[in-house]
Amino acid sequence: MKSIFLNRNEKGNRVRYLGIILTVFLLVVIGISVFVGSVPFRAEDILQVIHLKISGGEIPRDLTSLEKILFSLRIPRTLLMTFIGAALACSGASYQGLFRNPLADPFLIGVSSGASLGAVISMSVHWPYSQIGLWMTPILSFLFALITVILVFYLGRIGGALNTNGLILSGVAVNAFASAITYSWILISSNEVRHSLSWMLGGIYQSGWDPFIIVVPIMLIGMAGQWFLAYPLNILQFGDEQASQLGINVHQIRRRIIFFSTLTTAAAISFSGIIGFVGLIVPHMIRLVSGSDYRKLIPLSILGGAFFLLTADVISRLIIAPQELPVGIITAITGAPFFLWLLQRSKHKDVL
Amino acid sequence: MLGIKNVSIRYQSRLIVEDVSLNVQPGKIMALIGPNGSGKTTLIRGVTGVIPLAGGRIEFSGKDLTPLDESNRAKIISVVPQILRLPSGFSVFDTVAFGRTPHIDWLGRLTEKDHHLIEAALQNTSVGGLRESDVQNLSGGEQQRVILARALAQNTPVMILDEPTAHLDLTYQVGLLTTIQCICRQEKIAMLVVLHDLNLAARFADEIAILDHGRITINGLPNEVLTEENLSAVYHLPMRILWSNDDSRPVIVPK
Repeated sequence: MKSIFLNRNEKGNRVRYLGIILTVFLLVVIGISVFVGSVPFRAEDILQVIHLKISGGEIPRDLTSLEKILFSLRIPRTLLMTFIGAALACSGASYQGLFRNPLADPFLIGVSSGASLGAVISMSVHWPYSQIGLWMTPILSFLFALITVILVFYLGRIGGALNTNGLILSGVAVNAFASAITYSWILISSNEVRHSLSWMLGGIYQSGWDPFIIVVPIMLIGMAGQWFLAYPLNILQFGDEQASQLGINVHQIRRRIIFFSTLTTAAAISFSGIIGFVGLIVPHMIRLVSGSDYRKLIPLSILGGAFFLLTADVISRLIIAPQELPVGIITAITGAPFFLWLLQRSKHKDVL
Repeated sequence: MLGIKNVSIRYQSRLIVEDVSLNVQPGKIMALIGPNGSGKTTLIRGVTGVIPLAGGRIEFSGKDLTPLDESNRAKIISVVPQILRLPSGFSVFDTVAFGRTPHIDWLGRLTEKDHHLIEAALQNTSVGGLRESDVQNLSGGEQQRVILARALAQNTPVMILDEPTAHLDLTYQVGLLTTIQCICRQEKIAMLVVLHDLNLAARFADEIAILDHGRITINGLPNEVLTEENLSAVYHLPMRILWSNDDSRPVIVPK
């Protein structure tokens, strides 16, 4: 008996250690992200400005440009990227549970393309007040993303159960369709929207605190909703019929999961553009340690996603400094081979 | 007592199950037999609420279960389905604990009582030693026991088992059904078991019902139901009944 309980604790410990390690790593990268950028500053100056800002002291003349860069660029960007990474990995985990398929990712199943179509449409409209415009972007993103996920879900099921092939194929189709409309929309729109082309590859479209204030509360609500649905998501892994026989209202739970994960994805996409593969890689790596219990998988994916995307963002700022690569390119370069490896492994199983 | 009252089930416009009535007593095993396509699985799915009934009702001790939601129904009826594939990444303990779903909160927190019932279920099905193993890495026989343990942890007065011995070797078939019979007697559960193997039905069932073309053609004690005439008519194959010397059970062989 004793050894059995030791085993349970060992597993619990592994999950706890992973949580602690990821938190430490994340804090380190947040530090690096604040201290490192295309414009080099001395670390003492940065610390001094942060200290003065917190204590309410006067900032010396020669450091005002540093203050500006820090507080209206680097810090909001760092925090936004942290939340976006968390949101994408969290939604990725939920979509994988929802579709019962580890290849589901907000990008691969087309939800990101849908969300970005909504965002681009919103950007091209001259909303009467700029504040309304800022709000309309995540709202339209959400609506379009919701339509996309429902489409993929039903298209993929044509001809029976939702298997890997059906999912990937309908994801590709919906992706291509949404992207085509997005690009046409950009081309026929004003010049102002054309610069959203680089946004499409995953770069921050707007700097400062505005996007942060709008989008972070939505992402927090979305992630909390997903965490609360983690237990029924576990039961759904046994299939609709067994879940229903175990007392789960399958349709209701599925609708709620779709709502919260799509809300989270749309909020993440609406100011950052399409950043692929975060939702694929991170939950998959976490799963190797935590197993499939979504009550552990979701919070750990949140930490892991934040760490992963922020690291990619730091790399994207440094690799061709003083210029920047869109962060979506970094995640795609690391994610695409990983995806192919997963696909190779899943070939023999069809449904994973 | 589980009461299936005049149940009909339609699939598209076709009537798959027609006016079926059965009663299953607590502590008794009723075996449901019949050829492929006779509607056994459809009937099971109707009884467990997965598909709607076109007519009739399902009762437990006189109480109509049809209007109940999933959670309240799952407190009364547990199901051991045919397992083709279990998800990966869940331990045996986790999987059995999922049987507590209708009784616990939506975060899935287990109380002392839940732990007690899960432990008992693990012990009764002899999978206690596997509790930390990933369910996907188990053999077919072990997986079937884990799913039986999950249904047992659900702690319901009625249990429905859909071909629990399919894909198992003879040794495991007999071992599993012995366990099922033991649990049935001990916990006073009313059990409805779909079986393909007539000899297993003869050995383990207290009552047998034959389903043919969506209708119950005959039901009663094994010795009454398993006759050469009845079986030949249902299976369209001449059958021969031998009688075993030690327990006077019928043994069915095709001629």
